[in-house]
Amino acid sequence: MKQTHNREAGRNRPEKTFWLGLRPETLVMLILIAVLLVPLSALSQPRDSSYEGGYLAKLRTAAQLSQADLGEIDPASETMRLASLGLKNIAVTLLWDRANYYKKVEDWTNLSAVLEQMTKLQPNFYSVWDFQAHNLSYNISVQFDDYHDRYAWVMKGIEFLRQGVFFNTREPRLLGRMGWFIGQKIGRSDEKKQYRRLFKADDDFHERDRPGRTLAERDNWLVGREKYLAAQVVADAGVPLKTTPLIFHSEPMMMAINYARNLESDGIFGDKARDGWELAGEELRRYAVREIPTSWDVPIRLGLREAELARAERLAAELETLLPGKFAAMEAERSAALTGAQRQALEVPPLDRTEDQQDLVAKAEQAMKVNWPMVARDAPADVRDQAQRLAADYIEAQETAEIIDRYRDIVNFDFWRATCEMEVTDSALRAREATWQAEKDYEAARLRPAKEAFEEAFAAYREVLDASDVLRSDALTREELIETIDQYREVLEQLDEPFPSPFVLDDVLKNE
Amino acid sequence: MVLEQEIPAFAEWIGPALASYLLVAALVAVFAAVLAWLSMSTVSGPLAAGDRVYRGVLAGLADLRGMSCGRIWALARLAIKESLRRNVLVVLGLFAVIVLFAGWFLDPQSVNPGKLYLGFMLSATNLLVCLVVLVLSVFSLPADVKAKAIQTVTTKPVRTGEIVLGRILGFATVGTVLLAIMGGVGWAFVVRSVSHRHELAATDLLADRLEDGRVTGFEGRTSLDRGHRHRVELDAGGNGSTDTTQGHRHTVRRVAGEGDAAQYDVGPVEGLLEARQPLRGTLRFLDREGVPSEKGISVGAEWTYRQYIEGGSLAAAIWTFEGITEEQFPEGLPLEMLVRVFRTYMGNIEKGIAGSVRVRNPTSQLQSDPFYFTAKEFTIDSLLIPRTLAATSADGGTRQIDLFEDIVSGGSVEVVLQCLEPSQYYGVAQADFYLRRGSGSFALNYLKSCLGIWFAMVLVTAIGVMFSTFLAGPVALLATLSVVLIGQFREFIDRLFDAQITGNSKTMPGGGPIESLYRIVTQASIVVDLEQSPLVNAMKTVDTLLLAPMRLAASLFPSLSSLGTSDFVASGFDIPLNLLGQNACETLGYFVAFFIAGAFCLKAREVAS
Repeated sequence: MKQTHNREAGRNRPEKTFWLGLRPETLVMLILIAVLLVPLSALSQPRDSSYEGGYLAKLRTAAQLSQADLGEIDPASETMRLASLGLKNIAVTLLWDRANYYKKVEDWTNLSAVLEQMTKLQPNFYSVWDFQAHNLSYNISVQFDDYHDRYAWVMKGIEFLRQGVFFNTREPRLLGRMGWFIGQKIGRSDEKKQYRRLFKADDDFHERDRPGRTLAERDNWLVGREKYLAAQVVADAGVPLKTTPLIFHSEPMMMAINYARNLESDGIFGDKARDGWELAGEELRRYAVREIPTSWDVPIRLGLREAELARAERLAAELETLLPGKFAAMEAERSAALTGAQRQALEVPPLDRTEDQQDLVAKAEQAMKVNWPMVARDAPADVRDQAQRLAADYIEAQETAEIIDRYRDIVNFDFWRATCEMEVTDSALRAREATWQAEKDYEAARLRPAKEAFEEAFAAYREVLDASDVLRSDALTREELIETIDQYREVLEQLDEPFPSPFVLDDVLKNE
Repeated sequence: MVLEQEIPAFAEWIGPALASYLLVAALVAVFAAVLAWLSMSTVSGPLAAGDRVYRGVLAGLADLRGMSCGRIWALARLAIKESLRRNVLVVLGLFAVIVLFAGWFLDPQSVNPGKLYLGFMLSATNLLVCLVVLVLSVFSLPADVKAKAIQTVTTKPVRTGEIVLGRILGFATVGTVLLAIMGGVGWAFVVRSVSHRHELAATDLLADRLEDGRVTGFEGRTSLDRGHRHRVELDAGGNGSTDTTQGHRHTVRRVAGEGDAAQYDVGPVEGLLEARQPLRGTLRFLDREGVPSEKGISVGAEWTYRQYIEGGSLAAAIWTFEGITEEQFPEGLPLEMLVRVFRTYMGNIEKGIAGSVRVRNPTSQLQSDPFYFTAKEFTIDSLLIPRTLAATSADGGTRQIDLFEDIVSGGSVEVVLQCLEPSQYYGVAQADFYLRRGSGSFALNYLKSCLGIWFAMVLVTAIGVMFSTFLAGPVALLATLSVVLIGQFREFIDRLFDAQITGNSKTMPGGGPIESLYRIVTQASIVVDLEQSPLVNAMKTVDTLLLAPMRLAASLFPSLSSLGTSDFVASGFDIPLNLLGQNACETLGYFVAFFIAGAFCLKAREVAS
């Protein structure tokens, strides 16, 4: 009882207060909060039209990370992010999980709603737009059997990307993805015939995308090219391109090439096909002169390989003039310095060399190796500086040509250039048209006209191959021709006629 | 709609459910008594503790027996007044804001806007109502105890049970009023949001003509409204309907004019806010040889809800429907079906995959000639099996048969589905085929769904008040949330515990809490089995020990989500009364349990103080 009384008494004792009736520790906390507000204010003061803002605002401006720099501001998105009370990332993780679940149980309504919420929470996260758009256009569309439904889902993915572009005006990759989906998904999938037809007739899409687009412009490859061109404009404005520039910038050219090829596979020839290939050629030339960054920190232009080689040749000639006979003399000197064993090994044919001899040859070749910088180092003192400068330029030109060569291989540049050059010619157009006609005739069992059309096509192909070294040696072209020749052979068999000998494309068959 | 578990008939369910309930209740009561005895034994010794527990139980029971409705209602009114004093109606303002701005977050171009809007409104209502009653119920009693206001009640001739029940009822009444207002507004919002019409002009249509120029029909498309259009197919008279887009269709009829001057009326939305009343059957399969099979074929889908049958073979999916009467289906059997397609090769993409449906007598095996159809995925297709059917006999002759005289046997009929195209597959689940008994009222169905929310709200109130009888407000809030969350993950915890006990990690990969933490830290995939080692074994043992009480708690606590029936409303199906009855009984069971627990806890606290 006494203890209780003491407790009561303690409870009733007035608490020690300091100022405004606050306890000392509360007051200290409030003062600390007030003190911390000073650096916080300096750090996070917002920017306005007349003031550049605090430290964080300046950093955002420098890195162009402020919301207004990234794209349109969506009030719904801002509200949702605010409402998540800093738990945005947890919410997004849960939503990704829900999205996977809804996809598994084929609940498309809720899946779409979850995707919408995800993009509201992370409107400037590229992967959300890219991954989920792919999900819609590629993974979900194929769940439907009716191609109308499939097309609707493909377009849902494309519209999803459009929304992403709206909120990320400085992200060229999203425009690129839009171009890719419109080009490749509509133009290359199993249902491409139906998709391309529906795409042309999709007034709502074209009205939204670019009002006034003509029927001829409604080809998916042309629209895809438009998107890539728009993406290039964004990238050229100085926005970092977080993808491989070589591939990214080749896409307008590839879209134009695919457009021209599709015209021909749809049976459209003559001036329209020629225009298509001219457009492809134009895109190729634009691509060829575009500066492409490389892994060597040396920007290149794919079209300048020949110019770089010519420059190297000119510099070599200048060096030869400056140091006449020095290059050959150094080669002879190094050759003379070889050991007897090395000489003997060099005389043995490569395939007959033993392991030791191969080692000796490798060392000998290394020892005999001469280049202009070596020669320039030994040049007379009065011309040495000039020679070394020229030698360095020579090496740079050669290396640049090599880099261009490697980059060209990646995008098959030489083949496409040769193709674009040849396809506009009468011979090529005739060859394509005759092949198309022959195949149609063959399908319809009109064997005699098919045979004649095939022969007309082969004669035209002969002219094309004779005119282009690249196409003549290209494996893909050869394969394509062999397929056509096989069809021709089948026609002849059905007509009980022998395969002609000599055949106009014998060289193609010999390389088979 | 997806119905992964069959809903048993209430009459079959109630017996075993009641027996389980009484058994568990008895066990929990004994456990609680033993726990009380043990804790008192440490203070007063075992005999005195036994005596106190015994007397306590008797006093509690006497307390419960002597409760008065008048006093309970008086206390409930106090709780209602307290809620109003706490400005509980502010939540209606919040709800109004949600409704006003819902359009920002809801996509009108969704695959099924009705489902989206309904799901959203019912979830928002559920969340807000439960949140409000949760806060009210957990803070009320502790606040009264702290402010000693409880003494103004306890000094009156009221029993502790009445205090607890009065509060539960009071807060539940407040929740009910809020639910009624929100439900009404939500219903109006949904109906208004999905209602729309389209325009159709003669220039939007192309005539289908025969070679002689006669018009056989029209094809075209409607105007773009609410982010979508419909394809339209009309007969020569200009009447017909649209296709099903975004889960609905419209009826179209020509109202005036001819040719280019024709005027069309596109009707209101159909098929979106419905309450289909299905009569479901049981499903079995035949394999490609025609031999009965436990399951269909798996086509490798991660979700095994639907099983597949091979086309161009004897494989079939057979539903048996019971309780068919002529009075119920005088026109024939209105079959509704949802069939998924799996193609092993592309085939003709312009055409769907064809299949057939037959009806068969389960006793005599007499079957009708097939009805052919093309599978429409993700859209409910209708087929009326007429009264008069054709049947081909073994000798090739065809005769007319009557559905109810020749096919329905003892109220039972079989529906046989086959896919006709070789190497293509049909996928079905039991709930995908049903006979449509009729259509209920959508408004009534919506009301039934709100009843599901009401059940959840009542339980949250009961749990909150129960915890508030012996815990401080914030702790009671946390405890109530924990109970709700554990109940929410009941199925997950069940499967996790089973996987832990059986060692079959395929059913629930990743392991228990410690193993999950280990995998997160070591970045080990959840599907990779950990190598056996003493550490891993110890980890799994600790996990099992941690999971056991969780499993027990999960099976004891209610799962509020299972009381929800919004899926039915959103998918356009009438909520079965069987399910509603079961949910009501479950709610009542938990309500009684939490009320008794709350009353005893408050009594014990009273005694202790």
